[in-house]
Amino acid sequence: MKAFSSIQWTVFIIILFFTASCADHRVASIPQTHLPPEIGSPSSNTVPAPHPRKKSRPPILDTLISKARKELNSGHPDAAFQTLERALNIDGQDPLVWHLMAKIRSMQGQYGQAESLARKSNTLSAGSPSLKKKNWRVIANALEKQGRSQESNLARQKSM
Amino acid sequence: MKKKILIFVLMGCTALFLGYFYKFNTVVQERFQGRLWELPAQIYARPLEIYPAMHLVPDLFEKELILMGYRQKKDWKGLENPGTYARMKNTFDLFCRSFDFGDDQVDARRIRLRIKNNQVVDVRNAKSGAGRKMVRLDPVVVGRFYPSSMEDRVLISLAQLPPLLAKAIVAVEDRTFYTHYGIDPKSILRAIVVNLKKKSLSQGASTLTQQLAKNFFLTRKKSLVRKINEVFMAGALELHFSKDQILEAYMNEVYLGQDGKRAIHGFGLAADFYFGKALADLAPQEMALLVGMLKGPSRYNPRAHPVRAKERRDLVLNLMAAQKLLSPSSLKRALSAPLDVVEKPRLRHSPFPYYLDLVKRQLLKEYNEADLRAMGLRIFTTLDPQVQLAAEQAVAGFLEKRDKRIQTGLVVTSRASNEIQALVGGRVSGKGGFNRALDARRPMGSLVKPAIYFTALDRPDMYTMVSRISDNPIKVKNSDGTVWQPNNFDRKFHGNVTLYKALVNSYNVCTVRLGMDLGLDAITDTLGKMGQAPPKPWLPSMLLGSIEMSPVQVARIYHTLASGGFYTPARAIRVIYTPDGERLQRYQLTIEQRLNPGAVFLLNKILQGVVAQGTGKSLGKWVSSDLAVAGKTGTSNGYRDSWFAGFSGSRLAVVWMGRDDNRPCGLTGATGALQVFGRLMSKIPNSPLVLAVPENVEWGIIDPETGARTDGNCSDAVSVPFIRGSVPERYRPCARNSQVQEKGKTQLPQKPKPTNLMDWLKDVLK
Repeated sequence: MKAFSSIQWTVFIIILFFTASCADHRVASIPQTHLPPEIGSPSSNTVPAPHPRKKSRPPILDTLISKARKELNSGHPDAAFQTLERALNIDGQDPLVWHLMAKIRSMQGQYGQAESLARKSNTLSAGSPSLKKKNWRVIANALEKQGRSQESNLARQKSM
Repeated sequence: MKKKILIFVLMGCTALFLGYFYKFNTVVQERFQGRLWELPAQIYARPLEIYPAMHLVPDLFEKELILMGYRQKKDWKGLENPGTYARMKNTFDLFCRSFDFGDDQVDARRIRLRIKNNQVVDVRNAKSGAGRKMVRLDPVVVGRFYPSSMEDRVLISLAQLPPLLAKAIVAVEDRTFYTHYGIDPKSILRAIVVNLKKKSLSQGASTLTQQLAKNFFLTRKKSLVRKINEVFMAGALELHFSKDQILEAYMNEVYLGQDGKRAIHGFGLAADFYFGKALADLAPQEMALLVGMLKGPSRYNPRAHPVRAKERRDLVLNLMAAQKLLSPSSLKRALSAPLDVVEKPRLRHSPFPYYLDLVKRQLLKEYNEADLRAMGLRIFTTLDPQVQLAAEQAVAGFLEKRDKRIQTGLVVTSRASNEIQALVGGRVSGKGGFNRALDARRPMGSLVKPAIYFTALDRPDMYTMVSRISDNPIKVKNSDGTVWQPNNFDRKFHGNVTLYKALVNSYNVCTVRLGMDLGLDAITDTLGKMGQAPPKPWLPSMLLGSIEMSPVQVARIYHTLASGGFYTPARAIRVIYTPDGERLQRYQLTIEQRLNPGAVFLLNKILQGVVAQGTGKSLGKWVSSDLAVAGKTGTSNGYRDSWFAGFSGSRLAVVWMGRDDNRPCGLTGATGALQVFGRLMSKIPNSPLVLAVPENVEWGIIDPETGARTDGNCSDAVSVPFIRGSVPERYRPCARNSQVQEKGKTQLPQKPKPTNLMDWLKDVLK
């Protein structure tokens, strides 16, 4: 299996910035990765807003995530959580890892943690609307279980 | 009558005898019901996990192997035992030890890994050639907590015991072990005869059972009473336990040497202490050496008396051959083998006493010290030896030619989980002592400013990154009526400056003005949410960092920023196991959202600006601007304290430098602590800090001159992040001459290409 090295990734990202910065009408040389379209600035028309963190996962992270999933499915949530903590040490910014941790806590009835972990995942999942919805589902459920039904309803709406 | 008296005396003797026996019997039973041995706690570093595409610096990796106690061999053919490695440039062959990780038990195995450009390109099983997704290596032993007796041992069960070793012990020490009842009358008689002839108590006749009884329950003093007690004890032992159990206990109990204060007990530890091997891996001549040492561990110490030890070893080997335990050919081979004792015991001192101190303090909150030292706990910490070594080198490198009185405290944690990876408590790392990373509470200086600017940015209706605040002179009234007139570090006033510029350049005067407008309560509230509220009284001077904190406390509050507003308790311990492999306690990751992620994002953008173009600019000497490190310098009054706190995509580090006597050390945050931070980060793998944009942040095109919205095609317009809804409404169309020409010129950028993420604010937010 051919693994993309982090150096290759860095080069790729640098090239992405480079091409972006070569586009017309750069606004004060902003290598801005997160120009939401609603700003409506010329830059957002001409600069293809690169997707934040839409990189594919390094193989080792896939391995650990599927290990955690297996552990979870075989009824070992603690082991799964531990495996995900190992994954965090490899890449702490992967929203899926945080999401799975949130799910585990939710399954274990630790709703406060479930909510926090899902919110954390959300701060990192700008590039993945579907994951965001899943996180909102975890949050909505956690809030409901904590008796915060109004907040829960709001969260539920975001998960739709 | 005589007969009656005789019977009476006999009955009395029997009763006495039985009573005496009963007494020892109870002692033996009680002893074996409880914990047989006091076992020291073992403290492990995090196990190194190696996988393809991982960043791994060969030299740092080799240093970790050495700390793990791996011995270097010439080439892969020389890897005959677990715990050895060979290095050919950047290819490593390892014969990994077996290890119980608690969640996984791995056997000894050979692996080969290739590193190219500080990156693992290949990990495979050396025998089968199969590629491996991940290999976990047995961890470095950070230290041990010894029982008060200072006895150290590695427990082994009879099943783990090489049969040859057991036979050799019996052959040499107690030939009739399997047939006697604890004592051997024939040998006793022989001993008495010899001793009478020599008129001394030189000849012993102890069986293994007696020796065990003596070691367990009695003093080492030679006396007749003790000898009698020993016999009773041995009888009691034989009554309750099988021969195998007695042999197993003997093998674990017996004293086999001394390492400073530490007493080496049992064959399990002795194998490691003398040969750096697991017991199962010992060669016959090595077993013979250890068995020979039973007669006198210091007299036959192979390190101190190699000739005598070899003579004794050969004697034992011959005896083993005579008992048919060795074939003539193996005897010949064994006799010709050198002693092969390893150079230095690797467990003598903790390599990282400051870190060990941190671990111990955490443990003592939950365990009592006697248990901690005797239960044989296996404690897995979050220490990363490579980061720790790099941190120690960074400190040593910086302090090399400087004032010997300058001290330091440093802590490194992982950005995602806030695990403490390294801790340095003073300039000489190996010595331990006053742990400044934990205990030196010093004024934090400008490190407090992010809390003030966060408080402002968290009120988007009042403050944004481009809000202007006055840096003109200010007078602040203290509660006691005195007046305080803060000054800037450059002793200049800078007029109206943007929030961004004020923090990037760490201006004092406008910070005090901003802090007074926000209110001290609001600032302390923010600090509390970040993880460390300052104690009362809250004085205006706290706005410039009169608050005292230790490096670990500072790391706590900065981690909340690094994690995007999620408070995460720092951890030094991951999990604790009992010697039986039962999980005693796990310290899991917990997080709690405490700060508005949008405001944290804005603040972190500014902290990246600090390093890119502000007071932290000299970091560029050490690390690439592509890392986009966010950080803050701090200097206290009169150059007494030099601070730097910063984080990359993967790690956070806080460095303090100063003198224990609180005299000026002559360093600013930038000329002292920042340099150490830079040296450290340049030596260890780091990923770039890419700040994820929270939902509640939007971007505005701003005219930096006026702070008003403007058009994107204005040449000096700048895109600025705002909390949603706080982009200024005021609009200023750009002047004709400042418009970027539409076509033609666009191929040639007017400015040099940005080399880092923060260049977008450079030049424009003047």
